[in-house]
Amino acid sequence: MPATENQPSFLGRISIRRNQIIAMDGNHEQELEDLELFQRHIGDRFAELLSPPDNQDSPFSGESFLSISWLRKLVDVFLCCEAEFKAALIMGSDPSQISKPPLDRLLSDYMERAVKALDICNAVSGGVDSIRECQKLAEIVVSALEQKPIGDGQVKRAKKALSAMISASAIDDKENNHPRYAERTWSFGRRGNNSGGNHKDRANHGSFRSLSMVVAKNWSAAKQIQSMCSNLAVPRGGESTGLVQPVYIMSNVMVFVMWALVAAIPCQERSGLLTHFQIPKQFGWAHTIIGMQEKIGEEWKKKEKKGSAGLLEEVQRMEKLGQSLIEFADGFQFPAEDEKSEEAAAQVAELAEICQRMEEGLLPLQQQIREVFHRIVRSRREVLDLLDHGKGEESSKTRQELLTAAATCVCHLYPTWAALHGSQKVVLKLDLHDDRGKQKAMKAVSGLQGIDSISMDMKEQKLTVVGDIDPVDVVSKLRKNWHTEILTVGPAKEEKKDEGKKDDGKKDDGKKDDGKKGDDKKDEGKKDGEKKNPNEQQMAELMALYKNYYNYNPYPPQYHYRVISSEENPNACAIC
Amino acid sequence: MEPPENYSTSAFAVPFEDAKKIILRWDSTASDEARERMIFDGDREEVDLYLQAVDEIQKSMSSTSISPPSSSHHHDQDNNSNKVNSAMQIAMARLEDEFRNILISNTSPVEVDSLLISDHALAPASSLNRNTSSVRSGNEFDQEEVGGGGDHVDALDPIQRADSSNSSASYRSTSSIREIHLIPQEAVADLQSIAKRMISAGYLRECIQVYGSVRKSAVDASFRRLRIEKLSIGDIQRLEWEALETKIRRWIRAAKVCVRILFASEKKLCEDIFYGIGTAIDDACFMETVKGPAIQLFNFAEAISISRRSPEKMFKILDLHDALMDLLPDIEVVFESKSADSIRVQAAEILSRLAEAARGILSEFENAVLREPSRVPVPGGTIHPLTRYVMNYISLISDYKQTLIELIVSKPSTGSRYSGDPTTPDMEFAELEGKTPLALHLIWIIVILQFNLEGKSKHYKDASLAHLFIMNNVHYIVQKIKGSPELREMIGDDYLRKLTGKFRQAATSYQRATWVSVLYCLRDEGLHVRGSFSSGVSKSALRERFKTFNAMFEEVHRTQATWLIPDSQLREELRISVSEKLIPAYRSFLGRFRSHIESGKHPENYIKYSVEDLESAVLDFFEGYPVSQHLRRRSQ
Repeated sequence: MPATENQPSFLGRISIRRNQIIAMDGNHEQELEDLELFQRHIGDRFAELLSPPDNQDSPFSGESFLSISWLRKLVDVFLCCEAEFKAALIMGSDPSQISKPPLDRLLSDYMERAVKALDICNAVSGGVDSIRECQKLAEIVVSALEQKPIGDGQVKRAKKALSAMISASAIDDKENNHPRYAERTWSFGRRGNNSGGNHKDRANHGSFRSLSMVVAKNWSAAKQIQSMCSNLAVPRGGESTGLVQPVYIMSNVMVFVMWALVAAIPCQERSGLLTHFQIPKQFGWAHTIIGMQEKIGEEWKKKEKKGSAGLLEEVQRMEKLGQSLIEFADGFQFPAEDEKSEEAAAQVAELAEICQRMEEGLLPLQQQIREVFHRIVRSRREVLDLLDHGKGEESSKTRQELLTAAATCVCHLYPTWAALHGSQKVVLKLDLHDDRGKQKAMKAVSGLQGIDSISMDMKEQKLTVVGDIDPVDVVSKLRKNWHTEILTVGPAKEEKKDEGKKDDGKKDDGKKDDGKKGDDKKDEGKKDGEKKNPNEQQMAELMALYKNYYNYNPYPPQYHYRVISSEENPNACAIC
Repeated sequence: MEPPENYSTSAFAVPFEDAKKIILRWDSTASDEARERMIFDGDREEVDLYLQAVDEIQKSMSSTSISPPSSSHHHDQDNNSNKVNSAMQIAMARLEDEFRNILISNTSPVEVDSLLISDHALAPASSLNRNTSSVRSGNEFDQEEVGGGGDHVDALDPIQRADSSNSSASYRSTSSIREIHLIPQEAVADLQSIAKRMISAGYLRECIQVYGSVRKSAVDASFRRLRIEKLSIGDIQRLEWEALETKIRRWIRAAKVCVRILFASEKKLCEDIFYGIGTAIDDACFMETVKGPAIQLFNFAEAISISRRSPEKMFKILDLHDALMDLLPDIEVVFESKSADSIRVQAAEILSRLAEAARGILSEFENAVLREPSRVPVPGGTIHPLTRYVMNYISLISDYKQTLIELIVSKPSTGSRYSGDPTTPDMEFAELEGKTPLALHLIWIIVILQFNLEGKSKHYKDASLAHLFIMNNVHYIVQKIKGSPELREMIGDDYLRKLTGKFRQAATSYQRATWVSVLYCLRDEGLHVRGSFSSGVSKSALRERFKTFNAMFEEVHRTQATWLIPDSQLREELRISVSEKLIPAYRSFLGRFRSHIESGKHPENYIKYSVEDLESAVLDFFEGYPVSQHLRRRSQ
């Protein structure tokens, strides 16, 4: 597409583009470019997960494969991919196309999958809780064996906790439908012979324990993954236009991430997890995912023989330490030999370190999983709206009417985007080197509607655009002449270079949760004049709490539409 | 029974060696007797003795750890401290078991049913099943659970009925947190004295875990009695809505009991037992107990809040929203601690999601009304099922006014978005200044409904019937609005007047469409023949006129008798209005020209009907029944 100086406005341009698509004269070039970028981003992000940057001074730097922090990165990557996918879907799509085959079917399949992912999120979150139970037992072990010199009493105490810990973590998936909750056991076979009543009583308690699991009794994580994979067919050549590919890719990403979470964290009923999910090898983006899948698969096979709670690195190490500490405890005789007690002390120190890492990492991980839950719910809502909308516009209309309808759809979409996201700040990396290029770029962008400010940092080749703008629009304008990459997209009002800015993203989320009445929350003081009913106030307070809650998260999940280039570490600050 | 508080006063204190003996005597791994009996089940003296022994051990332990290890006595010292440690561990293991035993044997199922029924009566602690025999309580458990609770259902039913018969108001109850004693006070004192010792010996984690596991089971048991189910989100998406409605109703009741009674009482129990021991221990125990159950409880509401939106779900979702809104202050109180953040946040999120769902459903409903596709005209031009459905729905919405006014804060999405689009109606908001967004939505729905009906009316081949159809339906809308004071207040008299005007207009249009051509036969023009002798009236033309009139009237009578105006008053009015035009015209026409016909041959062929015949024939109109093939002839 040649660059013309007089670009029509955003709406005009989009509606022209839509009409062209309807007229089967689609702008495939743009589409393909978008698709390629999307694929590359996914590939890059997962590549980083597969081989983390080499700064491994210590073997257990806490960043290693399948560690808690690795999982958190994985979840982050998912959130990024999802944001990009949704951006592509909602901004770059044509509602009438979405509601037509094959997209309508693919999207509703995708939505089905998303609902299933929600259950997995809940189950995994419950799994994290059960890991925390083990962590508490391990803490008992640590506090018992930390004392010096170690006496019989401490060893007994530790042993009790250890055996509870081992039995809690060693779950045989095939026999137990649910991970056993770590429970303190009686120190002796109490009253095993006298009263049946007591026995019954305890049996009852045993069966109640399963109730506290978050998911239904006959629910199976493996089956859930399996059913997420059903209908997940490689798009055929004829179909793979427009959004078909992204939907397919995102489905795979979602299934993979859920699969990895289930593999890493104890979940109800996981037998046969390995067999359920295959990604076709022919796609470029899939290589890294397949690589990771194989790696996890190997681990899984290793573990399956032993019957393990999960592949989470910390859990595995905890188990291993638990085993050897139990051996130590079994062979313990007072006073302990120096060599043995030194060895045990090292192990206890390691266990303590793992506990520490769990203490720091599990809660944020749980919060991130919760964020995934929220995100999926939100996206599902938006896509369903889009689908419904498309259907409505399509019904009983002639072709001509369809054209106008599509145009109005876009008109409708635009305010939605603006209303949803408010003023946006888009930071782009531009490949240009002189002032002429800078001028040209700024001129091209300034033609867009809704721009508040443009600034260019030549040193870092960064262009920052603020306003009620569609990021895709900005990029596609620039991409005609320069290599352009989106560094970040986010709400415009941010404290610069501050961790707090990520919380701003949260604020944005909260607002959306709160629906349309959310606007007055941002500056409560200023807008007090507006009528506010008690409920709204209550909601505002709650949302403030909600924000605080995320403030305490030392590793805040990245928000929405934050799109990161391949060169950047996905965990780096979004602005700098 | 307070345990001896001061460890140091040795007046009662047991000497160390004796203390060790007592501890070892109760070492459950050592003797059968120790295994069989629980200290706290037996003699209080024994209890005191044991607790003192533990204190003594603890005292000597702290003294051994303080004294510096001298090289000469190194081995001795170590050995000694090992023995103390060992005794301590045995004592703690014992206390842990005692703690568990007291908890279990005093945990009787909360009588949820009585809580449900006597919602306002303050349940005294004695209402609790206080039997300390764990045997019996265990059996009771079984019977309750295995029996599926036949009387359980009966106990629930009356409330269920009461609830469903009441309107939404019943969910806005004002009752609030009510704590009950889950465990008798003496047992709490025992637990406290054990907890103190375990915690001061550094066995805090063990204590929390034992406490959590026993109490969690108790909470789970109560959950079962409240029939709180575990359903995955997928399950809930698959369930029939009717089934979900029942579950929602049950959940609302259960959630109230859970938050206000169960959780609150658990919290109280933790505070009682761990009062004055360390900081935040009570909170840790509380969270250990209820975190899982609370998440399980809220998961259901969450799943409902994200289920697919469809109009029929509106009112149950509003019920759920109201109930949760109502509970929120109590949730804030019960889960006030920092560690319970996530639960508070989740509740708030669900609430806002439910609000969002209600908003979404309303706009979904608007879309559905706009797009309702049926094209088959209802026979007789009567009220369309859609009209009935929409108006009943709207009246229900007005019943939920209180909540919806808070939730619906934006105007309907019309106007600019649809301008220029012929497939959607437009609405002038300017003249509806000062109305709440909810009222605007209701008006908008009525606008859309009319728009849809207009479209449907085009499918009638007979234009008169199309007008009658519109008249009937708009009249129904007006009647419905008038019938509900809430609705009337929101819609406002201005718009009501507009609607009234609209159906009157339709009535007029009907009359014009049907009767202008009939009455046209009764005009004078064209009958008078110029230059003729005989009174200037063309007999043949006159005969033709009468014949045409008869044929037309018969046809109208035949068809329009099958049309239906369900509202008797409206039917009467329209008939009168028809008669007022038809009868005088016919009477005068007859008066003027009867003589001409009667003077000729076969007058009965031309003047078939008397004025009275027509008057009675009009009474057949709009009854919805086909009449006999021929009009009743004038009496001969």
